Amino acid sequence: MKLSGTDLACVRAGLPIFRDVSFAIEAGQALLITGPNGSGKTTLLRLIAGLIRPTQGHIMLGGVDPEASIGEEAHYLAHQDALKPSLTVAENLGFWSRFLGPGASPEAALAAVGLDSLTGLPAAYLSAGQRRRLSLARLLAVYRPIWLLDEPTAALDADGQASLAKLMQDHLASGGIIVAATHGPLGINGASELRLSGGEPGCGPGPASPSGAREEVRGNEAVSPGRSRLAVGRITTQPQAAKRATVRQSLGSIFIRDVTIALRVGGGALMGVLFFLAVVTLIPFALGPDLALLRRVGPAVLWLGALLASLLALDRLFAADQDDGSLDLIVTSGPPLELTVGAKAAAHWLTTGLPLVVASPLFGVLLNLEPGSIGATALTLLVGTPALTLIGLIGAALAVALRRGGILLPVLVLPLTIPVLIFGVAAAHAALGGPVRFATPFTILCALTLISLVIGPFAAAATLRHTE
Amino acid sequence: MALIDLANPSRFLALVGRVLPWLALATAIAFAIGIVLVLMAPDDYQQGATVKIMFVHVPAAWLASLIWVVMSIAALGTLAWRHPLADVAAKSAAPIGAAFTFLCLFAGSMWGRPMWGTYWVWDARLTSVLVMFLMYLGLIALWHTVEDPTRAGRTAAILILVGAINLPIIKFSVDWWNTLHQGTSVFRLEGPTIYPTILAPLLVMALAFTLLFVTLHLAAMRNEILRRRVRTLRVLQAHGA
Repeated sequence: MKLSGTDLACVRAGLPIFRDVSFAIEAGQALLITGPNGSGKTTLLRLIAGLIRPTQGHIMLGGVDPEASIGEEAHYLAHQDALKPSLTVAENLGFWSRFLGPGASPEAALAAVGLDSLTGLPAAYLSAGQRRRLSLARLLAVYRPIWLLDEPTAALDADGQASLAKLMQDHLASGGIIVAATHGPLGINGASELRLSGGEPGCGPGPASPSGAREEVRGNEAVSPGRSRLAVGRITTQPQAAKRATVRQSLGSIFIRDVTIALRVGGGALMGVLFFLAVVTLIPFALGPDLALLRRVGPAVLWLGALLASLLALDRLFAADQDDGSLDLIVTSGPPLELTVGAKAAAHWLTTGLPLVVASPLFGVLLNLEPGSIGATALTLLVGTPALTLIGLIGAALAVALRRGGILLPVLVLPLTIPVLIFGVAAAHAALGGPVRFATPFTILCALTLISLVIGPFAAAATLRHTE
Repeated sequence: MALIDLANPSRFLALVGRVLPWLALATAIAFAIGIVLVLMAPDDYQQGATVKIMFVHVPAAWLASLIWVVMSIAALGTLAWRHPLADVAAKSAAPIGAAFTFLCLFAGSMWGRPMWGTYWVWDARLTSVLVMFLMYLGLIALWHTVEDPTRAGRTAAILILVGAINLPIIKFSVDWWNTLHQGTSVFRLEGPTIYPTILAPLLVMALAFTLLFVTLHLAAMRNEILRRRVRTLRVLQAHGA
């Protein structure tokens, strides 16, 4: 296995971060990326992980299945720890192990980083150093031959740094590859160093000149500027291929994780129903307490309430994963993103959409609806709310891409939900008799849901892939 | 025992342990007497047996308001004196308050169906109880959203006091809007307008409901204190103490 980068350059927001960076490392070798703040160490790691595309040059992975991308063979350990505060230590680790693929058993991984006494504790209670140890345990519990580590010693005490050094030595000895951005020595023998010198402040993009960052690779002893031509100093075993979880296992694990988080403290599973009730309560204040009028507009009120409730709850669907760094792992190393997005949508609908459907008959009584009308409205909501969630997925992904939440999502998504609203309310009204048969708008509503099932996950996944 | 000693959660727990069985017993006796009196009370000549729903509905409504008052006092304790038990008191009262409010709404709509011909009308008084129910649920949701109980407590205290403005609106809404719901008939300047045969069981039931609340509230506070201790122990465990 050989990982190499050739003439890499990266320009972000119009500013050159670095250029002419090349490196090559083979199985059993480590590369330390050093350099001052802002010299592009993290950017280079994210480039290797496949989270951003290089402006110039390319990264190659030799000696493995040509179908595999680097992201699938690599494990990216970012600044964020990709932990969910309401899940326990064991649940956090177990999720990643099931979602990405197995490695060492979670118990053994926790023991290796000294967290085996805290398995049942919610991650919210952990200190920064303990959180870092837990994400190091993830490196063991999910086996990947390439480790991409962004300042792995951050927040670790001396003891933790020693066990990290041991983990890295073991990984190299088994033929793994380590690329680490760091400010200090990591305690790896024989690591080569890639020094990013950083752009000179105030320098814009210009012709090839001393301005801009230039790369410099040197071995541990001899400094040799220019391309990396590392002599392989030791005989190494070839690493095992990454063990991947089956798609079914991955999707099942993320579905269960999302449902669990929604039900825990801060999850807000039933918040949508409360919002729904609040909307339904406000309408008669505006319209007046005329029961005949409320009965006439009741299905529309229920639909509007459910629409707003399901859209507002979508705000954090991907944003939470982005904030804690989970999204990077999900995008680069997980199963096909469209399926993952679909599984998250299913979990979200189960915890937000379904309670709205279940609550709607009760709210129908408040609005003085007849029993037939209550049943029809609940049925249309049961069929229609999945469409709202699936369309809302696109907005949730856009909110992540634009790094803006809140009111933006409904503004983007509400126009897209108009067809669902039209046929949902039409079907609810048609159930009480009238010129149109119930089946006509209802089948169109079913069709809209099926179309959203196709469009929503694909559009959301495409948006998430182009987030960077 | 001086009142100040109750600020200490351990002494409070010891007191609750001693008082709770007696309170539970008193509640059971009050309910037993109340239910017998309710069964003996005559049916209304117009409403028939449905009038008995009132013996659940009215005390529940009183309790719904009373619990908000209790929470408001606790909220003052949280904000003004940072009393360690005040936040616990407010938090553990909220679900009980929500339950009584729901009971009031439910019993009311069970009565409304045969009497008014509908489960629900948007009468001012009913609506303000519904709004109160919503506010109870919102409060519970707030406590359920924030992991750190002390941080949640201060925010919730402000919300409780703002919500307290809602209470007078409920009390006087009947006089202000004077709609389908019948007016106040127990507490009036001219004296009660209902017969003593109905008033007596009503008052006993009100007492029973209040005792039930006190019992549940003390038990819930004890649970909350213990829950917070468990949480603190786990945090300490995490930080290697």
